[in-house]
Amino acid sequence: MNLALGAVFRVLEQGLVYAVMAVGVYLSSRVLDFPDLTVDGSFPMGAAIAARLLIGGIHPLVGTLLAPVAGFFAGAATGILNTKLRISNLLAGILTMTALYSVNLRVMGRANVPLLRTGTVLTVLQEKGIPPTISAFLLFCIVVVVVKFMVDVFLRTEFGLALRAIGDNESMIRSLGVNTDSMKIIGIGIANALVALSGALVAQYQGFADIGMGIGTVVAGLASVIIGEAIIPPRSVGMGTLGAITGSVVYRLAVFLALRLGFAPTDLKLVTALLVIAALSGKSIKRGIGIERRKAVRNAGTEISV
Amino acid sequence: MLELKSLCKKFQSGTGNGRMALKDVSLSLQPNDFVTVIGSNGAGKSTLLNVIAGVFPVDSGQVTIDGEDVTHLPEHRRALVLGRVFQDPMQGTAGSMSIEENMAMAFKRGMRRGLSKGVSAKDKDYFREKLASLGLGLEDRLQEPVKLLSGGQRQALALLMATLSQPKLLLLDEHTAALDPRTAQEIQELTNDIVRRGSLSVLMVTHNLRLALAVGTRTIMMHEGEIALDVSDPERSEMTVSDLLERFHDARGERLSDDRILLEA
Ligand SMILES: Nc1ncnc2c1ncn2[C@@H]1O[C@H](COP(=O)(O)OP(=O)(O)O)[C@@H](O)[C@H]1O
Ligand SMILES: [Mg+2]
Repeated sequence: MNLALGAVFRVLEQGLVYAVMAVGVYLSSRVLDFPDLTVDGSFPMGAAIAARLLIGGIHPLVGTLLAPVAGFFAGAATGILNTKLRISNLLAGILTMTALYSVNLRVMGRANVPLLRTGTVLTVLQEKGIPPTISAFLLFCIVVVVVKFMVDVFLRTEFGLALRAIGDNESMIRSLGVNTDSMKIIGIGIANALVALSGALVAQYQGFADIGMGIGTVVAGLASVIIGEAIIPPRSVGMGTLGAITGSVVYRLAVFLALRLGFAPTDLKLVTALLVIAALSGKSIKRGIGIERRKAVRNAGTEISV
Repeated sequence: MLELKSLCKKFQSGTGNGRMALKDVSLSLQPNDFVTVIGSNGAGKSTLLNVIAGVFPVDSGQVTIDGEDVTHLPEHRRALVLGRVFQDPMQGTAGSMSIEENMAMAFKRGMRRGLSKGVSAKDKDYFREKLASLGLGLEDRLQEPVKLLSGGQRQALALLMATLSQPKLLLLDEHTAALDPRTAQEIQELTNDIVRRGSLSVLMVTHNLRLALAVGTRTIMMHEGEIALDVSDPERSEMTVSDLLERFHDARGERLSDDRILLEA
């Protein structure tokens, strides 16, 4: 009994730590309407940078907070490729992600960096007297609440409104004088900063950074966002971020149950991909109907008399 | 106010040469000019407005707004002095965002957007007052997402947003064409009101010839990328639609049946 409860607790921890990444994916995919594949590279980048800095003796808190700075630049690079060099958003993300693979290897020096003998943000908490059994849960809760609060406030600022308008009606906000190129670059940067922060925390949580740990991150993030939307309709900014967080926890719970049901861990990415495909196809059918309706409105306007 | 000098714009078509959407177009607008723009489908009316707004660059020629040469300025750098409303009510508003958020974005037209609160309490009162002037009850629905509004309400909001921060030039591209006749008329009356109250110049594209002569102070007709006719009050105020078509015939040596304008528009 205690064992099962412990397992569920672990799942909660995972859901929360990956929720930071899910909020990042929510920002790019929903707020900016930008399918951003940089995520598969910026997630391990956050892990790699934190691991390297921690091993180098940097304070874990500093190491953890430098990861999102690097993540921001990774995202901004994708934004620049897309807006300035006119490379399609998907390809721009793939290019950055591919480049980051080499960068991450350089940063780590090898494919896997164990963090078992270095201090981490978790051991810092434990030294302050927080019991090891709850330190991760406590930390991730605090991080998620802070991230959610900051993102919510940010999206309601003048700048945030313009950012949201890009995903909703780009030509309108441009006609209102917003440099949409710069906005997108900054927006994708912020999204990847969150992703990298999540990666840095995950590395310290699991005790290592690995070059392959980014594979499937963006799809897991999308799955979380989609599940979240189903549970909490994103009627406001706050509900959108809450949905991504909830979706992340539910997704990790679903993964846990799938494993319990006897799925091989190696099949999970297939299951996740199928889930996202199912959700997306449902959406595109809905969107198809929306387009038809809009056409009808246009045609209705053409009969006008002298 | 607005000065267009010899604008040329050619669109590359998939096969071969492409076609001239604007051929050596020159036009000068004084402050408070309200110009209606007519012409058959494909005449270049929308292209003219897009070129003024900087949506795409011209091949040659010069655009000057209020004494400043903006020919090479990107769209977002011209926004401060330009308001636009399009045919599709969806195009002028952000549907997933609330009425007050849409208003707030328009209120900051062409200004720096920082990290202060997007919709301040002070702005709200102002927005409420402005919305009340529409007489649609939108002032009580500030927090509602715009996508819940009807097409006419949404277009009224778009019009209000386009003029909220007092632009010098208002560009209207068939902004009542997608609405039912009654709503179209209401939006047109609202347009006339707003134009009368604020001192600004207007270019309004319409395919309703009678309307084109009934509102504004001047009418231009575009034909195959050129300005084929340009008549101003007081001469214009005497004209009927058939006079207009007659004048076109005299100017171009060809007939434009009024069906062609009306049905193709
Ligand atoms: N973005 C574009 N790309 C290619 N051709 C265009 C584009 N916009 C307009 N055109 C062409 O330019 C010509 C003028 O179009 P437009 O200005 O939209 O006409 P109007 O608004 O008077 O109906 C048309 O032949 C149209 O096909
Ligand atoms: Mg047009």
